Amino acid sequence: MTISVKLDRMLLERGMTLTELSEAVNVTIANLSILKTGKAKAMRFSTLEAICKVLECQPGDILTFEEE
Amino acid sequence: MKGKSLAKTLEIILYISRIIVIIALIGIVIVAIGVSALIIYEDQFLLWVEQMRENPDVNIEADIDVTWTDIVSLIASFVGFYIAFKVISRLREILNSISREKPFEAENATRLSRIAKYLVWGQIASIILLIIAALVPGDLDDWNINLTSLLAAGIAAVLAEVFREGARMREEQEFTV
Repeated sequence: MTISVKLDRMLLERGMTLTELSEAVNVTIANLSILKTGKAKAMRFSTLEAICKVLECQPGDILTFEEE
Repeated sequence: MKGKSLAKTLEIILYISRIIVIIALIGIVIVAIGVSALIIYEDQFLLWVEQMRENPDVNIEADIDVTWTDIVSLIASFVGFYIAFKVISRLREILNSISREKPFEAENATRLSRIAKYLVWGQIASIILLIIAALVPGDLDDWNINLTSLLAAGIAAVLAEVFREGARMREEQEFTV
């Protein structure tokens, strides 16, 4: 997967844990881990919207494209 | 839920069918050994019958009417039942996955492909045995290629592809956050 989700840095900057994010965006920790580890095949706009709203950021701040 | 109970019922039916097929396989082996022995030791057997007839208390009649074609026919039956056994085993595994509410797993596509292969190999074996039966002494009864079996193999192969695609879609859905 060349597109990865960078949640760690954003969470660190906002002093937030994965559990707190999970509760705020209503996504299970297991699913957030799938996002973090790059195992995700797709991401819903609703999930992206919820994460951006809670972390007060743009989609581009958490999504990165890397050449394989 | 309805599909699940249907799968359970079919699983029980297949379990019983499997036992019947195993019994049939054992029966065929026993009969094949007996018939082979009769053909090989025909003279000794008829001699034994003659000796038995000398005893006034024994009323025995013997007429050996078995040929090597019968043996080939028994082998064909054995192959048929063995394929049935393999197909039933794979079908049970598929039904088991349906009961676990996980029908679209990659293994089911492989199982269906195997069923298709078993059926095709069964027909190939049937053709080979048909040729052998024509070569060995004995009368050849009406023995032909089973088109239904080949059609079933085709359906199983198509279903395997459907399940493969289903498994892929399920995995994609599972990893969509």
